[in-house]
Amino acid sequence: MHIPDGFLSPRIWIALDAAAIPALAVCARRSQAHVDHARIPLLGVMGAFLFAAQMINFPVAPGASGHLVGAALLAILFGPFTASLVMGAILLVQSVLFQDGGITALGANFFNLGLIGCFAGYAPYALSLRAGGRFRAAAIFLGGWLSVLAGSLAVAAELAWSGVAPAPVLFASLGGFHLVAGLVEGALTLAVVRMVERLSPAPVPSAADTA
Amino acid sequence: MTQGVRTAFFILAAATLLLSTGWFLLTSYAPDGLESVAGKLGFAHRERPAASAPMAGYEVPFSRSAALRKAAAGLAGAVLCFLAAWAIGRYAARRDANLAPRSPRSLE
Repeated sequence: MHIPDGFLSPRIWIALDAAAIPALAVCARRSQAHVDHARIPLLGVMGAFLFAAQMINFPVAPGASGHLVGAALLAILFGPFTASLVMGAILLVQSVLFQDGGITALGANFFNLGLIGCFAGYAPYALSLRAGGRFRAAAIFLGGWLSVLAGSLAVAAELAWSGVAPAPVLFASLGGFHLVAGLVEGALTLAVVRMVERLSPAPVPSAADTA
Repeated sequence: MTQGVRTAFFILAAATLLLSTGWFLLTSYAPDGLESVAGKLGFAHRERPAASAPMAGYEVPFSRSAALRKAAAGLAGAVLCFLAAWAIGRYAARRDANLAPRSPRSLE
């Protein structure tokens, strides 16, 4: 789902690159929640794990594949602001060193996979926390699914505004594909969150962090 | 690190090592969702890299062995992402420590 250089019109990628700077600043300012010193190595290894996991594509439909994004996973474990920063760092490494995702589209990819992915992925979990932890597992699964779907719809909107194809076709194609890919994301998100929390119980981010 | 964090760290580190060095054996080479849609809707030709990258295609340029080129690239990326995420964690934790007194909301 990384947008390469050339897909977006200049007015779209310039606007999103410019908007990414204050968005990163806000994330940096709000990232203090729930990263205690003992869990810093866990955040580091999670960043590396997600980079590696994003290289593994799995078949989703005939002739098409998807991969774990991990935005919801990071957001649930470390809060959405810190998660967005880490996703931004992963996207930067992928773009600059591996040409995976365009350099001009870095702002767009940050919005789609970093901001939208992390906050959409965290939203069901935050609602579950507000409800006293009810339906927690379902919320984590839903967060993984929603992070991928919401990100793909943002990609569709940016491509439509860039005039590459009609909006309804883009929304149907990308949204339909990621409806299915998101199920795998949800399952992997739930599995990894449970594994980490079982081994390393920590104060979970509060619902207020998204406010 | 507590025992639990240490255990989670080593499990994730082992998984990262496995995936980052063996990714090319495990991955599907079918186009991803966006590439597939771009091909079907006829805008894939618009892709124009704005700059060259030292490890484009997830391969380092300095080995005859394709497997080694890919494994080294994957490992290099994973190490860089570890360092970046670790630095972000250090920054966030330091900010957290500097917030005194902490508001009740931040302690929830």
